[in-house]
Amino acid sequence: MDEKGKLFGKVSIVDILFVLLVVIGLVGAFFMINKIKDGAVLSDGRSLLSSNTATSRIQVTLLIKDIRNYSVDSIHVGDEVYDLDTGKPLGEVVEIQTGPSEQMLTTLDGQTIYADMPGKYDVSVIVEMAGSRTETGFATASNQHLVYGSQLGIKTTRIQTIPTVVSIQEVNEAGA
Amino acid sequence: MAENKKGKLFGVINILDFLIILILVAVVACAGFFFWWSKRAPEGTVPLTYVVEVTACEEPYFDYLVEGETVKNGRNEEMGTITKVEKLPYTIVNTNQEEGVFQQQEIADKWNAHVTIQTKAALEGPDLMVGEESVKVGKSVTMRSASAAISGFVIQMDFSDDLVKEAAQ
Repeated sequence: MDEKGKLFGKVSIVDILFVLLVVIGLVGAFFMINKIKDGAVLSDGRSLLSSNTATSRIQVTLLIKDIRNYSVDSIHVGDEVYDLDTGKPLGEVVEIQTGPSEQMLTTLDGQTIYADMPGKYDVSVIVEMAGSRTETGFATASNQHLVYGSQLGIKTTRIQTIPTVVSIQEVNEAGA
Repeated sequence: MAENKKGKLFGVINILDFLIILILVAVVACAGFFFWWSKRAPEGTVPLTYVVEVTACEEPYFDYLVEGETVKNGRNEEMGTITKVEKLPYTIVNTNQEEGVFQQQEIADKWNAHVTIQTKAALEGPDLMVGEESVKVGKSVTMRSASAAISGFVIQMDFSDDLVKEAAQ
């Protein structure tokens, strides 16, 4: 480098640093895009671990309350289920149970009873997915913590909904 | 090349500064292309018919729901063509405390409009996309035709599962 700060009397050291910075930025951006595509980084910050490390399978029962017949008719056994937030595959619908939706009502004599809500249904959907029981509870293959009573946004090709987790079982426990 | 002893092009621009500007222009161009590509609406291949329910409509509204008119969303993307309009009773649920039941009651002079729309959708993951919007039962949609605003929920979707599987491959 000469006294003017130029390498070999031609190239400015500042220019070289600038070019290096641009190249490092481009390489970094390329790797980050690939990581996001591979699912190693999730946008919602729920997991920073690589996905699909689970080897066992679990059955998660999801309760969708108070829906109309149109929505009931849009859920089928065999439907592939995806996470609503990340779009990642969760599993497959293996069983559907439909019943009337019941709501509390107070009668004239002051009794509180449950009565059927006309045109509304409660649907239990059992989704079988890759997942495992860890030290901190059940988790999906993408490390999403599943707990009783939590809401899990799901979608299929036909429908999207945010049901409540009401049961989680390992498949061998369920006898499936 | 018109480069002089001081490493300047045409005696004016430093060759390295010129390269840096070139790299910056290339980066901006790539970012612009990436942004355009990611925002580009995929081409629809799966014929899709969906029904949008608009609730509590008044009588004149149905005069403006014209079969054959195309509908567009807020981004001005074409969401399909209206192929059928049905007029159904609008009901609410009342509590009958005497009998201890909930009862459905029709409301006079109000109707639900079931607007059937036909389009072609593109499969992106599990989603059937019309423009940049995924169509699913339970999703709210806001659209307008040449004559009417259509704001409601998708209640029904009809498409060929075989074509969706084919599009997924």
